[in-house]
Amino acid sequence: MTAPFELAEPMAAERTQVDKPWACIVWDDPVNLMSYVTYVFMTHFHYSKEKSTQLMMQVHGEGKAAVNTGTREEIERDVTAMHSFGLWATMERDS
Amino acid sequence: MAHAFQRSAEGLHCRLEPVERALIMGLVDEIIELLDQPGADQAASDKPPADPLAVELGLTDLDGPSVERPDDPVLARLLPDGYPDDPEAAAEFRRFTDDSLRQGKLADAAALKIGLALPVDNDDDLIEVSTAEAAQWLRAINDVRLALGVRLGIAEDPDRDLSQLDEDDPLLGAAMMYDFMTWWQDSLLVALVDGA
Repeated sequence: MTAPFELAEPMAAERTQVDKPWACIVWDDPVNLMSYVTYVFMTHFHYSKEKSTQLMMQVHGEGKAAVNTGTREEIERDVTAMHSFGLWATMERDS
Repeated sequence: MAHAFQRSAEGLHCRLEPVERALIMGLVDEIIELLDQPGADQAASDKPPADPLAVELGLTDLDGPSVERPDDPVLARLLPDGYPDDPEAAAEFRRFTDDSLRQGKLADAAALKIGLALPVDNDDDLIEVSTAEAAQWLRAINDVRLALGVRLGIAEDPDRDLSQLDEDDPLLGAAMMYDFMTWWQDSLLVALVDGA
């Protein structure tokens, strides 16, 4: 388990590219309940209910959503955690 | 008849009849049986034994056995690829995460089984779980639903109407349990999240 990588101040886009080159992508899945997906985002990433619901709706509506960005190690931990919850998640290089 | 989860000062509770508990435990056992086969060990058996010196120095993980993507469709869904477009990175990711992911899912399944194994003289069919353990139950219930979903072909056809199956359809039992587990998981989520 890992804590969310939150910053007090927004970073410049260029630096974000360098520091957070990977994204955890969660894909839509017809089995996982919408309420469960929201619960997983709240539990693992400690996102608010509003943000978790918004991300869940993005997964549901657009087929996928980038739910976190970070270093390769950080995002590999997130993807493994999503798999432990049964969500369908993959690594993606943030571009 | 089953009663939905409710929140109390001690945690969460619901009611399940013995036959309902037995059916759920049977499904959890199937998950345990599937997961309790370390992919790494299987792959290792086809390869020459590790260098004894490397074993002694604890270096075997550096060049450990590869872990294949499971052929079983249920296992492939429970243990998916981490890198969709990069087979080499996917294999490396699996090599380092497969065992801990399996062990975590087995621990979740065991926690749910223990919670369902009531003494036979339990007359009121009361099932209790702490809010901390409820997280494990939710994951274990979800793994059961994912497994049933694969068997029922829900991924290929999400709009399939399972209520229209014939009485002699071999998938009828799985379809009924899928609906039941969906209701039960949702009931636990509602009590856990909205009752907080």
